[in-house]
Amino acid sequence: MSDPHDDPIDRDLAEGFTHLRPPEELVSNLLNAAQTTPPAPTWGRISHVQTAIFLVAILLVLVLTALGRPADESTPPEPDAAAPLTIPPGMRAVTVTIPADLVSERDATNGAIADLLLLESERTVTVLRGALVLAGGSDSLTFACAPEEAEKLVLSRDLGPVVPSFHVGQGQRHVTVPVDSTPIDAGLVEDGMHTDLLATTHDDGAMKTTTFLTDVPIDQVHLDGRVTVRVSPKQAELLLHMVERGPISLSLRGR
Amino acid sequence: MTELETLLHAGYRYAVALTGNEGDAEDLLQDAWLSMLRADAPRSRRYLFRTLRNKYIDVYRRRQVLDFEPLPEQLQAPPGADLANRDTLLRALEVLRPEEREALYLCAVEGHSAREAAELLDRPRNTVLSLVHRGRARLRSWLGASDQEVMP
Repeated sequence: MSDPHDDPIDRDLAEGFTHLRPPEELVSNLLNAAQTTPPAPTWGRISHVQTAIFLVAILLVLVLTALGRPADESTPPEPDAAAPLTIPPGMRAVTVTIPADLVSERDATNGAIADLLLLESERTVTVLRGALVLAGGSDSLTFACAPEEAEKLVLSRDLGPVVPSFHVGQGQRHVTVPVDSTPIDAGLVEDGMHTDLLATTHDDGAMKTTTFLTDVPIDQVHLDGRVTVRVSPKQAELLLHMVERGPISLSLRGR
Repeated sequence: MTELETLLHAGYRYAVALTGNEGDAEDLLQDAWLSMLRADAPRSRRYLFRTLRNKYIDVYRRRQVLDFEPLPEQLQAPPGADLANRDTLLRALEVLRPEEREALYLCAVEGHSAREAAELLDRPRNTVLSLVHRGRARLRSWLGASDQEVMP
């Protein structure tokens, strides 16, 4: 293995990997973080003076509280969850109409982070990753994005339906999809259950049903025949693609 | 391109090799990078790769969200597929098992010897050679090239 490219497969792999580049926005954010993120403090780095100031501050708060001063006098008012957020400097706000049945109102709130997926006839592609929701809603969402992303988003919006998948943890997304409502109507589906997802499609005139995702956690059941499931970004693309191809059914798993 | 940008690009490619897709790779790179910054760790390729791998094992592999059931069209590459093409490469990565993907990446793309890769992966050298061999065979089979071995 002294020459790693002896094998044509290795040579092609090496060339293919040179075409993989992280999104410019991600690189830019990470470079900014490198300039602004201070190392996590450790007790060894905190001086005695800093410790003393910290203790005096705590003492002061306790004394003021004991004197009966309202603790929340200087506390800023809670932000109004329904009010749209302000557009961050250098960013643009773009509003996208979204298919109401593919979004959960619980997820589509101000301050949420979402990926945006374009549903094309042959495939589903992620057109924007990690966009901040400035104003949520059930039929449209306003996102903050960089100027060049704004163009991409508007173009995507005009090419086909754009659907958000919401960040709910590292590498996990919430996607809401309509499913065969029979088990929901029968009261069999509850939050926290796991299910396989099956799609029934017509290929060359023949109908067939395929299990395309297994052991998917259901995080929310909607009584109108939809479920919100937790999947990875790649699986979000697959799931929305399958929604376009045919009806989705649940195959619930035993606990 | 600055040194840090070059480092992030290299880290991203390794993250794709670990996770097998770009979405997870972006999350993984971000996690690992922020974790390095918070720890005030040296911004070196070796340290970034180590952090990416540890994060991947801690979070992504342990999480094991769900497994794909491959669709029929995923079992065979489209006619004329070329691994040097970005889209084909991404589809090919889904065909490989995670450990094959990583071993193949370190040896074929990063140019490490089997012994160096074995040290990085904390596995015996023979295991790495076997993973690389199987990975290549699986890709050949997926590409529809003449294949002389049976997939495990």
